[in-house]
Amino acid sequence: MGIYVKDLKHFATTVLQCELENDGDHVRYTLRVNSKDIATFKYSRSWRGNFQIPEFILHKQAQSMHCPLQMWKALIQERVSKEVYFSALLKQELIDQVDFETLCKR
Amino acid sequence: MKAMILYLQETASTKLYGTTGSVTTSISYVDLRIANAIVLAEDTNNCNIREGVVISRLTPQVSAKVIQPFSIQLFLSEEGYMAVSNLCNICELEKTRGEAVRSYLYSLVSEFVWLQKHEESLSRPLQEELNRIRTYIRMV
Repeated sequence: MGIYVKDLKHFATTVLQCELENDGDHVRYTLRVNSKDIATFKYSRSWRGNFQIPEFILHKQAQSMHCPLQMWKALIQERVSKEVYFSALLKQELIDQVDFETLCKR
Repeated sequence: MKAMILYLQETASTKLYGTTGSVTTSISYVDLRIANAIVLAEDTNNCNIREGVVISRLTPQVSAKVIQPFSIQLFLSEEGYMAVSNLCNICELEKTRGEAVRSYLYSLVSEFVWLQKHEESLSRPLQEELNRIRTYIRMV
């Protein structure tokens, strides 16, 4: 099953509650917690909601978000909870326990 | 339409991107034409971005100069050409190879600007990415 821009947008804004910025020709989403920029990704503003994101680009986004491609796809498709992702970030020491709890409460 | 302009400048000791093979002192105000020339100068899908190349954008008005050569890799997909490099995780998708290279260079400058702006609050991998980009380009 493909992943569309509208799925990604929904996940980034509603589930992860990333901060949205219009960054020139791109739309940028940043996962920010306790004044720290944990991860960020962007995509072309020209992409419409029904544009199916190529696998290779999803892979690059997953790298930017510090998680494996399979987890990134499962997160967007809401087959995996955000807590699993935040745990992965905690395990990599990209966030601390306080950050983890803050993110989970959102 | 992209509100950016790509300037490419080279020193007298380097060859002009393209097929003439002549020694050229500088090229000013070039955009897609030079991006296409970069692509045409390569036999493979590895495009070498040479030291001295200046990438300028108008909004916001910033320029970055290549201080160490790097490669942009192009991949053909059903949707078009994807451009990536080892500098960071950005990926640009365009219809042609030249457009992909141009977009990648613009996007790289944007990424650099964003990372510098947020330097104080970056996580370890983002800080590493900024440091890596800094070894290849600098703002001018």
